[in-house]
Amino acid sequence: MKKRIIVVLLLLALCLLAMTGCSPVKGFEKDIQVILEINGVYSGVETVNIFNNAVLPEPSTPENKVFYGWTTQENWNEEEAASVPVIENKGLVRFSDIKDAIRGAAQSVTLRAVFIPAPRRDLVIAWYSKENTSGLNQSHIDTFQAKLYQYLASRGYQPEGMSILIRAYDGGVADTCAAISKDGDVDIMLGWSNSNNLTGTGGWTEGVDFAENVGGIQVGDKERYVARISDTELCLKVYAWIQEAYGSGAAETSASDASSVSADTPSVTNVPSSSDHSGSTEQDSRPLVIGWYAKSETSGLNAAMMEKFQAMLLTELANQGYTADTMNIVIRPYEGKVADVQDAVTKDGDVDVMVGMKAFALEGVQMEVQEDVVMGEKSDRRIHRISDREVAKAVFEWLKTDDARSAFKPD
Amino acid sequence: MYMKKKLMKAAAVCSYVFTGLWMIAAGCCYALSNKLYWLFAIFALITLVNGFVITDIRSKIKSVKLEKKEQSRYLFCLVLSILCPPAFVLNCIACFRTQDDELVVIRQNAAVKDKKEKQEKPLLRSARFITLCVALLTVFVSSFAAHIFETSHFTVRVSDFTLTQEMTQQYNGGEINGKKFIMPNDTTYAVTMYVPETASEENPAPVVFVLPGFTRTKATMAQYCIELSRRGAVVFCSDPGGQGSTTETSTTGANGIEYLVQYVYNNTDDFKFCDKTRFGAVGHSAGGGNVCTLAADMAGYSFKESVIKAVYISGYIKVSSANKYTNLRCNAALSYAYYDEGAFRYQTDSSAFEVVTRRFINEVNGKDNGYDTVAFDYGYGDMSEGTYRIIHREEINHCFEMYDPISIANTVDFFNETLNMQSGIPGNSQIWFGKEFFNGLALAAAFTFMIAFCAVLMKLPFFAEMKESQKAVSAVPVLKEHQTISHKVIFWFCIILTAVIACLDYIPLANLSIQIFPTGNSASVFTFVFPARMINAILLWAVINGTIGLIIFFGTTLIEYAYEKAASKARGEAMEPFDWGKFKAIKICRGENSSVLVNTLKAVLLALMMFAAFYLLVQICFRLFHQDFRFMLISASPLNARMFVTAWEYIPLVFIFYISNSIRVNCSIGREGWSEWKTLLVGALANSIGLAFILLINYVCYFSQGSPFYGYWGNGTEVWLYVNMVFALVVMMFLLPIFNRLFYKLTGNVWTGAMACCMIFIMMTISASVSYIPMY
Repeated sequence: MKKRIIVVLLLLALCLLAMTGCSPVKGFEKDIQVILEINGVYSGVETVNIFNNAVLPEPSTPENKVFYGWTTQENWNEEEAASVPVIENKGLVRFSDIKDAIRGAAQSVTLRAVFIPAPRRDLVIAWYSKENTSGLNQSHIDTFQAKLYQYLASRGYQPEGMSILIRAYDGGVADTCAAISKDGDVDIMLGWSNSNNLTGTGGWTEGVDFAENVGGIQVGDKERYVARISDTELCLKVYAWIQEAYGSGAAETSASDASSVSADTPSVTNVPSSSDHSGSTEQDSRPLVIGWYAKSETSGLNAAMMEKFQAMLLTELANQGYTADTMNIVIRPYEGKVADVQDAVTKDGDVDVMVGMKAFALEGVQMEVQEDVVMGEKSDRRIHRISDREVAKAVFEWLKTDDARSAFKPD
Repeated sequence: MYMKKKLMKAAAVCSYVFTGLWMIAAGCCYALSNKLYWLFAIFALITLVNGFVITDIRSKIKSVKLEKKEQSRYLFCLVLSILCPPAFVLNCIACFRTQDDELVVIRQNAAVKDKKEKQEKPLLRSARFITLCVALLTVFVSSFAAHIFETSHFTVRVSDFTLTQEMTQQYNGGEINGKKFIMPNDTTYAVTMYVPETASEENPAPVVFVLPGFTRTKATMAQYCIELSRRGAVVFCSDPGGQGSTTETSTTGANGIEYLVQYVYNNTDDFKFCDKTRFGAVGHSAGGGNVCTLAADMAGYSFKESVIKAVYISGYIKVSSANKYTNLRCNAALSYAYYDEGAFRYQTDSSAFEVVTRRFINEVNGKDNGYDTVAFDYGYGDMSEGTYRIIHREEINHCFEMYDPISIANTVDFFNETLNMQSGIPGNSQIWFGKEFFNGLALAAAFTFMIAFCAVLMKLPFFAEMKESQKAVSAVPVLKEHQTISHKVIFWFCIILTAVIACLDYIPLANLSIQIFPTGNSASVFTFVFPARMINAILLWAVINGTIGLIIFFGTTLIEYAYEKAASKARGEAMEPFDWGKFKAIKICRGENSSVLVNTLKAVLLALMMFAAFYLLVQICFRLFHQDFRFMLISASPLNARMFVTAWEYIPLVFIFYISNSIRVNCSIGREGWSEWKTLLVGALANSIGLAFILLINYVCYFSQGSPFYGYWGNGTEVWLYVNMVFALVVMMFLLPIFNRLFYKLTGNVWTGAMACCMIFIMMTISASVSYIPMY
């Protein structure tokens, strides 16, 4: 009988414990003060713990600079600002962002604002990378980019010298719309749904947050919408071209457009319509794809370096006789563990040269390797030539020079 | 010697307790991704085995001085018991105790009374019949008492009605503020209406629309309905799409509540007791998002035009919902539990709680108020202009927020003020606990009724014959008085192994269920194939773990047999008779006048009758008192066609788990020679401890790191809601072995109980969830 009573009492105690709810847990929370510093000057304090984040103010930005984020790092040169590790959100600090920076029994952590030179952007196209919804993936976008460059070249632009960014957005409509609004530099949105979706779920206002939104556009596997946000001359031209090339009945339009381009410029894409382009094999018409390991703390590389590298590469290829019309370049970041990168590169199947890896192997592929290349603060990085295309070999050779490798030095 | 034995027993018990503690420590380390969990798991196993060995030595003890071999074993145990300090101390004292007890306690067996042959009482005077009657009476009395609480002592009229497409077209062309709100399909929404007696045409009352969240029925929001209606508000509560008795499966728009509001608002015949200038709406979780959509859709251009004058958004802060704040033209409240497990999804500077709440107080009537900080429980704005905003953050988690008295008090106080209800009852004066308690009592009584009903039926010659034929096998005694250590190790190893598997495979299988049943897992796809999205996870888990349980049970039995045979052969002795009796209880035997088939059919019939009796009771209580049987997240609701059909898709497959459990409880744990309470306790713990550890791991991680262990899984799939289901599941899994054991004792076979429990528990689970079956 005693045992039964004990068991019943134990169960009752457990139930009571459960019913008292979570209140006792509050004792385990540790409040940390987050001190904000802008250009070395104290600008405020916030408090965070595991259940409470703090909203951070957006600091006023010096001229020709943009706010890059908040960091717990103490000292850095202005030149290397872009490589300073910043917390994930610009406007929010979480306990998980600063917990590793808490020293011993300290009750506070200092966050410092980081500013970088404002990048110049000629055109920014956002694409909806939630493939199940938009029908778009990186491969579609690479092809799209190649066609876009081809179109721009045909209209007298030099896309290689321009700052054109095609940026992926993932997540729900509301989240992506919020992110696009926050980024503030997007000209065209590719792959979202109709205007009701953007105004309803996205919380936008037509005429304010976007100018127009047209359906029946098939860049990937599904017919989706293309929305225009800005009204620059280039944006308007590209927006019109997207409708013409990818709108309903664009098969013919696209083909005729491509062939009209190929009349005076060699086609560089691998679309079937370009197969009549003489003197260029289908393989050669593919863009040159340079993969880079975007895990900066391991590879030493960052986006700024790769932009610099791209500019230098374009110049070099031009010197070697490759023109904008014959060669498009895709600089593609790969993130994650080495095995994941290997899988992704294998899956994509079009990478010519990979930079920034160390241990890197692809099943059934013999690669040429340059070892101990200095990239950022890392001195043991490698460059792998994956494809045997002539242009890949040329780029690989050029990458042996100090001139080429200077792109990977921190500014 | 007596004292020594007592000390050893105490040491063994301490070892078992520490086994549990080490397991909990292992679970905590696992939750924190600390590799030390292996070490603690090994500690747990060592402590457990140590307990067995001490018990074994104790059972062989003949004098205070142990034999040399036993003394060596005990010394070894003493060293190992360092992992359990209390056991170590006790073992130290016991091990070196060489003096016999001075006081010899003589335990005399009480004189065995001549057992008078029990005379069988007539059925109507038997304990089982009396229990049946008492249980039945308790069910009705409890339901009646719950009815008193639901109707606030008969001052509120509670009734149900069904909203049809035709009804939404009937008045004003289904229009409000120039927008049409007509149901697109010929489906229905189930609605419960609470009308206080103070509401009349002369004195129209404010109206509050209540909407539950995902996988919840309107009955789970009764606490809001009770507290609002007893304060003078007319309350309408509806089942959202795919849930409860609603036949519409779509969850788009405001999930059906907009049609109900339009119908009540435009209806000029039936709702004259409603003040149509004082409409409010409250919803929890997804329901919170839905009422926000409702208020925004019906906002018009001013507070005066807005149909909804007050909206209370509870447990929902998605950006898509926050984007609508600026369109609201009414007073609004937002509450989000301090320990809401779903918050891990909102950790960016556009989606975090801190950002969304700031938007909530700033984006008012299309303007920006410019507040930099957010104060909780503080009312911003002007109530008379519809710009009032208040934010609450109750210290509770997501799935219990709607049962939190503070949360309910905040809700009723909000409507009391914003809808000018003029109720003198303060928010913290609540009576809904009464309904919850009596519904819980009715649920317990209904289970007791089911068992007593089975017992009474088993007295009928028709069914009694089935048990008579089983008697020979079910009476097979346990062969050994004391099980060997190897048997104990195997037995407990199997118990722990199955619990560990049940703990670790639940979430991966939930994730897998999304891939295996893609159509059943989308709110926008209606299907006849396993349409209960959340239950698909339980289905996979039950099938896999049931199968593993069966394999382990039969596998270990065979291994034990092979081992003993080999050991006997090695010793050159004849093998002791093996305990094959455990298998015999699984077999349904032929009777004197009935074949195996007939007895099998009788077992099925008995299970069906119990199921029917249980749900008939639910049905009667609902008809008489508008009450179902429930306690918080565990409920038995009245049957409806959609849920009935859905449940029968799952029952055959899930039965694998139920029969596996019944076999393990009755043919394995039940044959250890323990007292009945110990058998029931071990059975209940063995079946539920794995799931309990899911909660432990999840919440240890959550409370120490701020994000749940089971938040995203696999390819970024959200699985946190599956953990919420475990709260109810763990209770059911605790009760299941107890029921299986009781039914086995009554029927003599392992099948009837498993079938009855499977049917009832699955029907309960499905009815309290969501089904996208397109049955209208």
